Amino acid sequence: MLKKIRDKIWNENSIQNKIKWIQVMMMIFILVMNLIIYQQINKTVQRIDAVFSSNVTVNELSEKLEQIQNSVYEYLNTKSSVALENYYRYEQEYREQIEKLNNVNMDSTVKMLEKNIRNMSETYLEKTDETVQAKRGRNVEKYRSSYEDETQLYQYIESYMYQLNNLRFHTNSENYQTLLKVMSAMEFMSIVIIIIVCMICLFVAVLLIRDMIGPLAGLSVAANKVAAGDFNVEFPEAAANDEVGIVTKAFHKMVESIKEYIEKQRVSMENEVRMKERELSMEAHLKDAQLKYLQAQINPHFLFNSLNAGAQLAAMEDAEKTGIFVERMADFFRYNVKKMQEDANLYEEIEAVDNYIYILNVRFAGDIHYEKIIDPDVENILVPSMILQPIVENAVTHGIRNQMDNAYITLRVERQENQLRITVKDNGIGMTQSQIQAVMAGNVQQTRKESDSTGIGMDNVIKRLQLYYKKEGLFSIYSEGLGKGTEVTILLPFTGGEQNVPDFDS
Amino acid sequence: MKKAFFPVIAGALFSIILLGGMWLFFQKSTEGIDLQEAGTQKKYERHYVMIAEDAASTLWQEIYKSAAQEAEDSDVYLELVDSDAMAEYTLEDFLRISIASKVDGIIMQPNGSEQGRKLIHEAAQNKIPVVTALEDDSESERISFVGMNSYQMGSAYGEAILKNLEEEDTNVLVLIGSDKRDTGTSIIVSQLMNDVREKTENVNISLYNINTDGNFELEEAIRDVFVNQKELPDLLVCLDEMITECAYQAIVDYNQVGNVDIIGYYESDNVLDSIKKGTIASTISFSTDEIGRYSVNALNEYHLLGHVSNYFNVTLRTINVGNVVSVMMNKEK
Repeated sequence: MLKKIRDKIWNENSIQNKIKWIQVMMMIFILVMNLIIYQQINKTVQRIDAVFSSNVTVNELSEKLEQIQNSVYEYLNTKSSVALENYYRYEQEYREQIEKLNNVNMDSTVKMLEKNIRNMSETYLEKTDETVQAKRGRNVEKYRSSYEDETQLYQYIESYMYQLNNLRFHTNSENYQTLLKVMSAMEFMSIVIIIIVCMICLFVAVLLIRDMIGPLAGLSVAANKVAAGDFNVEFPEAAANDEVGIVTKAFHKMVESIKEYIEKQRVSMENEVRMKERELSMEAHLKDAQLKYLQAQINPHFLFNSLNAGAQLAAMEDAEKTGIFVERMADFFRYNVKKMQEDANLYEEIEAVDNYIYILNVRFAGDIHYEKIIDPDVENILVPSMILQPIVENAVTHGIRNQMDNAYITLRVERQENQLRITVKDNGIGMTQSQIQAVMAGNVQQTRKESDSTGIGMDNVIKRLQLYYKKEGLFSIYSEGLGKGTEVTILLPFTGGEQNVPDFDS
Repeated sequence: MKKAFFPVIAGALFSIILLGGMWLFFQKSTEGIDLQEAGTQKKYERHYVMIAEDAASTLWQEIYKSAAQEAEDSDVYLELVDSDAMAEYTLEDFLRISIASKVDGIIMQPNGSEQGRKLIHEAAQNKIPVVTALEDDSESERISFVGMNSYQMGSAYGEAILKNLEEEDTNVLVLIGSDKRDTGTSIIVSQLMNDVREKTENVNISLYNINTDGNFELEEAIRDVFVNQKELPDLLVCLDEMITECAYQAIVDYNQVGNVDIIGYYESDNVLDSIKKGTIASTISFSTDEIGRYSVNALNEYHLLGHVSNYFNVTLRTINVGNVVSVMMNKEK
């Protein structure tokens, strides 16, 4: 029940309201406390006042009594009418005053003294009356004895009044002592209460500030972490529905939203990457299939056997040139088939180019001027297979096809620092820069159905070199323009030593 | 802060309780401030005055105690005034004051003076009943006397003297205060003498009158007995509480314990102690409770019926070493 009230008060109020109410409550408390204290002091002072005023009353009584006694004495002495007049006046006044005194028997020494004084005063007044009457009647003896009695009573009353005043003074002194004690006790208690209230105020203020600053500090730590990119921060618990609570909750929500957004982004990017990978792998598979297909097209053994049979036939018929031609054809295609899947020695590659040029020269009854410039000791270097022949084929097909009678092709192989530089240069129709760029970018798709092709295009060579050496820029084409011939350069790095160019399949 | 909710509430409650406590404390304390204001005290139907010779003495305190209790029970305010204390007022002064104050009844111990008798007469004329206690003035117009039967008392003293006789002649000195030379005292003394002389002739009883009119004369007079008398008495008989105490002190002071025995009056703590120690042989005592109660009852009865028995006898007892312990135990209770 109390907890509910507490939660209701605490959670559903803003900081402003909380501070306001706590202040108001504390002020009311202190105000009430002060009012109570002042009221009590006031009350006591009033009571004490009442007592002292009663002392004053007794003193007035005493004075009046004295005046009566004096006026009687004066009258007895002088029998003056003024004294008699005074006597009657004082007597009247005194009667009125003693009417106010207590005449009931009660358990109070003071009140009983009052009663005694009142009764004695009445007796006294009777006596004075008797005295005055006797004096008027010139009854000397009577007024003398009566005056004696009266004077004795006067003394008794005076002494009782004195006693009453004394008693009152005594009680008042005691009361004053008690009051002093009460006052000092009250002072102490007030100080204690004020200290307690102040401590509560201080406590509340400290807690309130801590309550406000605590979540803010937590929030700033969290915000710093979020700013540093850590979205998995722990948030300070915002219990109350005040300003800090609202800010904390809002910030929390914001960070959650950002986290959610980032997660979504991550998932979609992952999906994209996965799709791209699949696309690439499909392309690779396609390429592989194409290759397999091309290899299958060649169907080599039948061709070799047939060509060998042709060569033997030519020998039997003494057609020597035909025999050589067919044999070289067979060599060329055997190499093609054999070397498709493994690395080759450089000399094998050069031999394939030789055979190819020879075949072309027979076919086109032309005379391609073919020149080789090979550095010594490079023939045994392992290189990826089928790279030179396609380049030469390309030079023939696109460069010099239409000027066979005046065609030059130069193959140059040379060591250059840590790499092997192979250059194929022709004097054909040349290439424009845009053509060169297109070829380099692999954008020129060669049609596999070109009749004179051995099947492997330039793009294939470029790609294979990149994959083999895991490096780009190994292949370059240079031409000064149309009709100025073309020069293709391949740079093959020595990766594992001169003789150990890494295996293509590894 | 939330966790501090209950401590704060508790603190506030504590302060409120403290404030309430302060309020109560203040109320209680200021109530203790007796302003003697009208209307707050208990009221009574009648007002009696008890005029004591020495209100501070144990005897009168005990009488007043029982009388006040009886008065309280019968709706009477009993005022105790001390003829010794205030403003040198005498018994007669107090009688005059009481009459002038129109009280409803007076309890007093008469001193046998003519003036006293006149005043009792004046009181009777003013319809104020007067009861005499402890001692009587049968010639006055008192309505009743509450006290010991003087014959019985004389016999009790006589018996006590006989119990304390020496083997040879015993000198007995009876100490009488000047204010006690009333008929009651005379009866006590003559009865005492008769009783003793009937039993033995080896006793010399003499009377010693002490003038107690002035202040502090009692002690001086008793000192005279020890200093100026040719022969010290064997037995001192005291007919008054104060005389008993003085005589006891004198025996101690003049190193006569064992030589001089005392037969005391009334059972104040000092007297009982001395009996226990053996310094005082015995004491003739009476029930103060009865005196107090009977006095108030006599006045009440008079107010109720218009007349009352003119004599209330209270029980007498002799306390000696044999029964002093049980008396003391009863008193403590």
